[in-house]
Amino acid sequence: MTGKGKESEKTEIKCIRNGFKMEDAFERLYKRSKHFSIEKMELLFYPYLLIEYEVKYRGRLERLSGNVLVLCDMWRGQFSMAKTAGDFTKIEVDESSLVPVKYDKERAVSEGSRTVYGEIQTKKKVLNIPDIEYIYDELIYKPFYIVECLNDDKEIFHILFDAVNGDFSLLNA
Amino acid sequence: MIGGGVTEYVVLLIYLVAMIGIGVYWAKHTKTSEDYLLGGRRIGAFLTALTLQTTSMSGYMFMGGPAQSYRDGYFTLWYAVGDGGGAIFNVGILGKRMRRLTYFLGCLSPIEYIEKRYPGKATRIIAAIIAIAFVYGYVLAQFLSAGKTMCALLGVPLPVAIVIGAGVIIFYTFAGGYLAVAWTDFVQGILMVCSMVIIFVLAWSQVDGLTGLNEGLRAVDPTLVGMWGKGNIYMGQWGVVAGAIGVYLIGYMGLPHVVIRHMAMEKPSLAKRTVVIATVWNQLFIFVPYIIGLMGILMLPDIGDPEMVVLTMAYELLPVVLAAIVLVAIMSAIMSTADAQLMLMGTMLGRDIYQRYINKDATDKQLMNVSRICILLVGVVSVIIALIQPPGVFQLVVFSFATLGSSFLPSYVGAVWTKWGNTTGCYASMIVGCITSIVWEAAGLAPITGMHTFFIGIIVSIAAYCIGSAIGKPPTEEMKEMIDRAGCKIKIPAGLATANYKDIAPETNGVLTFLKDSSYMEERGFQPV
Repeated sequence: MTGKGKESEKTEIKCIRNGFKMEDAFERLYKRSKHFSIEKMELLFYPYLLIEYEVKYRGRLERLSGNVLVLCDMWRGQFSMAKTAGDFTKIEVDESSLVPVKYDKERAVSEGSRTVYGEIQTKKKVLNIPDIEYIYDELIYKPFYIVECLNDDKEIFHILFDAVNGDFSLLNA
Repeated sequence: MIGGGVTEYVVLLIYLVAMIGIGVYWAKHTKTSEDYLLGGRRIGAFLTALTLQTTSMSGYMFMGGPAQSYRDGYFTLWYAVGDGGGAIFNVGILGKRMRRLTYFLGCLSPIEYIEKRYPGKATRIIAAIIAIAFVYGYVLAQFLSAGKTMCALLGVPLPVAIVIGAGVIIFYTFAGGYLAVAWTDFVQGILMVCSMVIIFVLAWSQVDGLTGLNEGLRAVDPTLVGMWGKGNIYMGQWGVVAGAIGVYLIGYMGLPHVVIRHMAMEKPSLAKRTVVIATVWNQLFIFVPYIIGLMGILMLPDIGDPEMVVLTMAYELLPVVLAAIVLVAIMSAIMSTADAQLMLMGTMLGRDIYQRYINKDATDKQLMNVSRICILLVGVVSVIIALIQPPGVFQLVVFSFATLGSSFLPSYVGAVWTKWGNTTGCYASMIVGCITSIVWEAAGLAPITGMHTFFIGIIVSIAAYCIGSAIGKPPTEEMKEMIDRAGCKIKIPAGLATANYKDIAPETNGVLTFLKDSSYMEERGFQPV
């Protein structure tokens, strides 16, 4: 059922631990419907820069100080706050299964601090602006399955399956 | 006052208690903001079709429509022609594509959808101002109608009637959200169509069918059976005819409280079934009130108020219990429109104002509670204004339909059918369409020019959309990609079509562009996406 990808250079990446093996993904999808068949399934790794900042308040607001994590989507340059760093593992994968990094790392670190400012302004609603210090960053990947399916009319459609939490969505429908 | 006996009060009481019961039931089954605002996007074809059509049809169909055909004769069937095909146009053109695109964009309100499809700093502000102002006008008008109807039919004092009628609507919408609105609409839709069809069938035999009706009308006034209105007053005015057909044929596609029904469909593939059900319901419901109005010319030649044709016939032809049900059906028609508008006000104020500008990080529960509070506040303020009845309010709101349609229709249709429609086009059509409609109505240009407000508004608005889009920056490749996907014709199995997309929407869009740009699929033997 699964296709063997074309051999390319191997590379080691830090990846969020895969919560769903291929057979788990099969089971989850077939549980949603019996009216299709899975023809092919392959892993794809999506790049993020995990950036940690230290937020320092002075005076009476010092208790609000602490570290925060920002995730930058390194393909599209979009930012989001991360609650926890996650559970990582180091694995060796084909380079061709990696979505390339298109976004500049320096820019991500600089833009990331603006995301933190924005978050503080809207969420904590404090007037004084804290110091935001960059601590570290790390390129991580999130695993997805690309799933090729056939419906009852033998039409092909594709699904993107999140191998970490089992969410999925249609790619071309 | 037509009815006012114990039977009518008992039937009305049972009906109102049933509506409240539906609200209470769905309040217990509503957990998330998506449940509350869009029924968890799990509304089936039958429910979608009925809520769509009952929302579109207000008390006008029981009172205004028959009265119009009583006065103008067959000419008014132009409106019915447009209305009868309205569901096919609305669901057929927007249904599936809009359901998909709003899902891809992760939208919960029709204004948020406009903003995401046409990104720009002012998009949501312009859209929200127009929508909130005119949908609010609609709510107010429906509350007033509910009160006046109950007052006229039962003899209840107007303030008491407004408080009771509006109070029940506010309660079930506040408590149960979209699901309560959809299910009450369902019950109301059944009541509306059954009442109308029963009266029609009984009256049909009284006038000896179509031949008897036409001969009778011809005897009264030959122009009643013509296509230009009584006394041929609309002779040669094709602009009026086009407006009469077009208003309801395409107008609903511009109403935010109607198009939100597409967003709540369980899956895009239901659109086809929804069209069939809505169209059947339409044919049963829409032509009938106008024809009853025509039959009223023969059966009730001396009626003082033509708006009472349907109800007077009900009392003449049916036992009092069934006539009381017709009375309740009239209330249903008003309430099913009012609840949808009230619900949309809550959605827009909660999602488009509170979450967008006041608390960006509002939790799901906060959003749901704020939307509820907004529904309550809007409802209570509307009741107060309706009780005061400041002069001109009713006149001000009657052209809400034309203004909303002119402002939003090109943007809603262009969003899913064009890849060139862009933010500049959207701004232009919303502003120009809205202003044209207001100016046309305020200056009283419709009767002078023979051009319906909606007709001129929509022409100008479409032109503005096309010109603006030609000048402005084209949509991003990612957006074009999504529009293509929204138009996809592949049959996706149920279960997969309702996949939990929202959480991985950003990655899905990213992965899709990567797969299109790279040789990943080809190298692994996949078919291209």
